[in-house]
Amino acid sequence: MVAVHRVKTLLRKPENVILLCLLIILTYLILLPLFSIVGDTFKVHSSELMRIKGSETGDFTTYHWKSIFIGKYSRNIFYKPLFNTALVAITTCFIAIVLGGIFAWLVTRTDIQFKKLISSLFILPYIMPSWTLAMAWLNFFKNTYVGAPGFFTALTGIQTPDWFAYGFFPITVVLGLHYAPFAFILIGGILRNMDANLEEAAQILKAGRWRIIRRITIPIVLPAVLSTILLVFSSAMSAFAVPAFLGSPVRFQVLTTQLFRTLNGMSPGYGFLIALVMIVIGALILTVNQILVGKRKSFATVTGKSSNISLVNLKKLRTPLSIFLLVLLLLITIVPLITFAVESFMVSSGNLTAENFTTMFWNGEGRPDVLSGEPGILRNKYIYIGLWNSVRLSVLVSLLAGSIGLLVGYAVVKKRGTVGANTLDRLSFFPYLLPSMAFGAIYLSMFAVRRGFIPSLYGTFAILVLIGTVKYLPFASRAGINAIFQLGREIEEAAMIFGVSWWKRMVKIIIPIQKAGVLSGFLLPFISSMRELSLYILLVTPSTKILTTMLFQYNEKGWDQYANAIILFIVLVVISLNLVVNKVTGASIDKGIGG
Amino acid sequence: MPEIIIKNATKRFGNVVAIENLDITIEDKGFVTLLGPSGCGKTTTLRMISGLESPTDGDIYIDGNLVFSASKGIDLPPAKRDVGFLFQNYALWPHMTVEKNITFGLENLKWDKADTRHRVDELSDLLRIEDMLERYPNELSGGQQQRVAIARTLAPNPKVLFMDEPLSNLDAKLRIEMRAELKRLHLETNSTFVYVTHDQLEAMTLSSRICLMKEGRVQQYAAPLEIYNHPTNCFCAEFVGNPTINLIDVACYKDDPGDIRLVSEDLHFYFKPVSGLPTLRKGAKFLLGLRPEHISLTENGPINTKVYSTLPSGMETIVIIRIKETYLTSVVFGGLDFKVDSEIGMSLSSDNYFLFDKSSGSLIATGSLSVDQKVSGET
Repeated sequence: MVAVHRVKTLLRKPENVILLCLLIILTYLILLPLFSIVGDTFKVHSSELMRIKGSETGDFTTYHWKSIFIGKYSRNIFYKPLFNTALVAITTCFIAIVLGGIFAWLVTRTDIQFKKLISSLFILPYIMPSWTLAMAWLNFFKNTYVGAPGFFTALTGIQTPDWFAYGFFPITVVLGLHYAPFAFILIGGILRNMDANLEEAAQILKAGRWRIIRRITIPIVLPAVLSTILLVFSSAMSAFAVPAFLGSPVRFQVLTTQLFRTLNGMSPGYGFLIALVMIVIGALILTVNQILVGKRKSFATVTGKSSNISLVNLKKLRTPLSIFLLVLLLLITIVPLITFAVESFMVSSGNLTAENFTTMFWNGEGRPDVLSGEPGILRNKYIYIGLWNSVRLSVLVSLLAGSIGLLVGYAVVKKRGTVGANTLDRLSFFPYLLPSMAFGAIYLSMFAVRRGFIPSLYGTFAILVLIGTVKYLPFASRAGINAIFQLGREIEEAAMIFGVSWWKRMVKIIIPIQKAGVLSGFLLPFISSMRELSLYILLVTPSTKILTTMLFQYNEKGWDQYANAIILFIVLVVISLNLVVNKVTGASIDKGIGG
Repeated sequence: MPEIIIKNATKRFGNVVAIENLDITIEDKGFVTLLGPSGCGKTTTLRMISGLESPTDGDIYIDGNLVFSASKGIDLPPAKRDVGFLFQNYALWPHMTVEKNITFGLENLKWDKADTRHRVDELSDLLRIEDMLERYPNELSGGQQQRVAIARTLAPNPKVLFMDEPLSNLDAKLRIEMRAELKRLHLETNSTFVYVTHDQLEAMTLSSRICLMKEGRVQQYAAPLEIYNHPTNCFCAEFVGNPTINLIDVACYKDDPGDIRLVSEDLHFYFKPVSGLPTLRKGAKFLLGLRPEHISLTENGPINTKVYSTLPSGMETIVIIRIKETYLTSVVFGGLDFKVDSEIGMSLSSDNYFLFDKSSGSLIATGSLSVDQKVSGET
């Protein structure tokens, strides 16, 4: 009887109800699919009946596990892509850390010029979708191996070698450039916020400059560097678009591209198993990172004011170096955008004569002899459908993720310290640990069939909304937790005393006061969803195409003009929205949790 | 009559027991202070009575109504308990003007326009905030914000007013001013105040009764001077009073009821009980408590000491004296200055020295003391 009363009393408080509901829903949407995918690796799928003799669809089998790990072809199916993935991820880490670290040091600790401009330009590749640079690379350096040459060959007449144009080298350069800002933000943040007294104290004790760097600065920055390495590694590992664009011409396979091939082809069982491997690696890496981050906090480097760190004088190098960096940054940020624009007006790429330029890919009606008579972008109804789908999807994802994130924040902060709140906190962050494409595979496996009262969702728009919401919930719930946490409980309790209802407290008190934080919880998922490819690509069907998947298809078909036009459009939307978010809220995707 | 009765209230956070079997009655129109070191459960107690926190067990009555009962499944929300709550950080809504801050709650309680208007005028007059009604909280000073918060809390005429360290965010001067205002407000509003603080001086000066807590348990619930003069245990004696009471480790040397002798490292005492019937065992360990003002300094004798340090503050002077390795704090009225290391006499003329049991801390007896300097040896 007392127990019943206790439960009734508990459920009278909205935070308890929210906590309970969210725990149930998120367990269903995040944890259960993990079990489902494990099951799928032991199951015979209909397309595999031919190879697994005498079996029927749905039978239990260890075939996938055997062939992936110890089978005759396991080298090509699994170990080679795994090795490539590791190689790409490690090299990417190296490039990103060195580049980001040098820039961070230059900007925070030297008297280099254009600091503000350099910082904002440097972060740009991270805000842009990762495949932007890959497309730009192709525009520049593609050679006749796959068709028309790129700008570089067209301008100089020099044929780029295959290793330079495709495969490992460009993939690591592009990914390295894409994740360097991440290293820049993390390391720069530590350097900037590091209490100058820490270094000054050493100076007063007569330690030399180099000794200070070696014994004070580096040990303090080290945890940040380690954590950056881990995050870049796991992000590079789960990157799909870049290796797909740059690697496929020379059949350079990594785990994600292999996952895409097998799942879309005849061996979904392999695909699910590869996804599982990626999830395990990703989860391991990010768990290690959490431990490191926890340790870093204990350094408490962000205590004092770091107003007067003495900057290194670059002397004669100052101006040339500043200009060199600026030009370099313009080359990797603004120039790619220009190539997209230019390419979208060219009939055949690599030909820079005037008659080769046309607006027909924008407003033409389509000619049967060019690209299967596909009409220009502005007249193409499929483009509009894709655009509409993209916008609709991102708006829904943003509304759902944002609202749920706010509720997560409310429940977690109000019930702070309880088992339920800690569980919800971790659960809502968990999708962040899952590589996008593997997560897509999970949902494919989970919702391809009817589950309880939920009908089969494969091929519907709803599944895209669902996965987008769950995948970006970590951004939204972090924003929500921060917003509610900063507010403090008293502000809301002051209204409870007057009997203000929960709904009114949210709408009239909490949201208006924390509107900036709340808004960023809505906008970050929107931007992320707009530029997402690998999360959705396994789940779209012709009727639910979105811009990014269309871009991917155009690129596969070699219809570069359309691909370039779309990419230009997406990049502009993402960058301008990011600017808006930045202005309105001070939050920015680059200040998010990375990924 | 808004009398508050708390019966057997227990609050656990996970495995941590914040409040254990709390049993107190707060009389109508009282000004009761919950006092204790941080983490003693005083704020939790306040939040439980007001309904912001639900106890794990127990019953709470306000004004004869059962507002919480774990066994009966009753847990009225704060709004139905007819209480006001003043928060430590004021919790003013930053996006509303002062006037809106005051009226928002009233609108929600469905007050009509004229009554609301009247109440705002009344309160802004009482708290002298008439000319701030159109301003936003961040345009006000700490003291002004405090007064607005009080106005907002008083607006619906709560029968009981809860205050959670309301003065701790103010500077020292303003704090003393607001202390006086709160005491006046208590009389003018004619309601029951429950006040949380960790500042013993605030508790002493404001309250009609103090509930002194430690680790989730009530140590003593009595009038301020009662606690000061008759603490139930060593913790209460130490927590209340500034400068802090002197405590000397002693052991019983002679347990004859007519001739009790206690020895410390450096001193030899005769203890004469005034109240309490100590049955002392020879060799048992005790703490002797001497309030600083009960240690008088004299020109010469009966006990010879040395001045170790002196802290004159104008109105009074705190003198730390030393007898071998024993240091005692004494308070002298007036701005006297003593030369450090000079010789000075000390006398123990009060009959209100405390004898606490060393292991349990509880008070065994109060009585008078004298020191046998010869046995104790020369300083």
